[in-house]
Amino acid sequence: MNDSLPLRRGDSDRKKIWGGKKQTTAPAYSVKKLQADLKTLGVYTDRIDGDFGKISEKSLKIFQWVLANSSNAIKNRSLVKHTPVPNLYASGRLDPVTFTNIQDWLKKKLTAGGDLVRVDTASLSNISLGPGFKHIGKPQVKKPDLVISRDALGMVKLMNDSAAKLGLTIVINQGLRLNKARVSGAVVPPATKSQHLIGHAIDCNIVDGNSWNNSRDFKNDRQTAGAEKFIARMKKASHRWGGDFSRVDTPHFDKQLDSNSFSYDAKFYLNQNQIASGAPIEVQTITD
Amino acid sequence: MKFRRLLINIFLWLTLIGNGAQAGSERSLPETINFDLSNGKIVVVYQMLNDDTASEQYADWAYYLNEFAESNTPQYQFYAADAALNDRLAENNLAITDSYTLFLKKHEASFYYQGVLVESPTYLAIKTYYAGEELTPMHHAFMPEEVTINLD
Repeated sequence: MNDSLPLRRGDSDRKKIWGGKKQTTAPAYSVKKLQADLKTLGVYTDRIDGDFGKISEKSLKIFQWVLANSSNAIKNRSLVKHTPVPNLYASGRLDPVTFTNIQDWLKKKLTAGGDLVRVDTASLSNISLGPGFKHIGKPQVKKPDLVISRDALGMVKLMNDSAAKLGLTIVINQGLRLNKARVSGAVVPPATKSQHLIGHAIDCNIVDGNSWNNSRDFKNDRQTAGAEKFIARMKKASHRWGGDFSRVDTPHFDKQLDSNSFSYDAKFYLNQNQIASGAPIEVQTITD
Repeated sequence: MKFRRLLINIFLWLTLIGNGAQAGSERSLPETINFDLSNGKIVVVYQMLNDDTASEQYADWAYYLNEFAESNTPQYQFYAADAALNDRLAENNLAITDSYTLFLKKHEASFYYQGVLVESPTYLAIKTYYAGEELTPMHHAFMPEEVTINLD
């Protein structure tokens, strides 16, 4: 790589702009080459046209985010670990550290992966999937699996532990949600951002004896003492409960990742892509 | 020349037919719903005045409604409420709120969910009820309020 030409947004092979300036000779590592490599690494899905635009920049940022923040990678359709690169900022510019890592990943045949895990709910003492739970209809997900982000595993464990302690059952209606552009049959525009879309949220009912503690119960202040204690435990561990939102959503719990942050965008891309591409999803056991 | 005149006549005839059909389809929402109900459809009317589409409440509401619509159309028909319908519902002594979901089927009970519906078991309970299947305690827990609506 020609270190004097760190590729960046606005660069163009066609216009002979590299490193933000018009050049007379092409660098060894062109924009097209970068785009092709990012595509091989699983973070670029657009055309390889040699124009470093917004999408190329975002793809490069996602790869830099993976390098710095994730230990997940995929090799030969299996999950493998990589050591995060410290102090790497997701700048969207091709710096020497990023370039070296791109070459290293390509040599090792690694691709970027999400952090989704599968939890076998049949192994949980006080959590079950509700009758309306919609299974993610993908080959890598089995029927009793709850798919969530690895970062939300602690939340599910706390739910199970708290329910066991309080004699409750948590009936889950949804975890990860697949992103859908407006599809045929949809009647309203779907949300473009939600903690469900990155696997950080659970919709559930806190079943206490004969009470399902549904939205109407909370609205009419008819929730059980057990449900209140459960919610207090979740909140104490810094999880959000939708009953506290200004737009009340009592079945909702999440481990919030700021949806305006780049971490959210990166995770959204990687986790949705993990499902859509059929990449493997590790099974995680939650132990007492 | 004769052929050209024939083509023009056909075009005018088709235009008239088209306009007639269009005029016939300009029903009010209550009339459209009545038409669907008479044809054996189950009608779902929704009103959601939360325009904060970045909220988790909106995300959950839209997701469960779309999921239900995708897997139950055309047996179920879905309509966003309008002023004409809300007026008719008010005439039926329904307390119209900013957000609601109303389930209707001819010769069957109607159900009114007041507020933003963010619970998928409610859709399941409604589907089970209108399918004539036995309701479990869970279904009962999530059934919306039964109401009497007459849009005739």
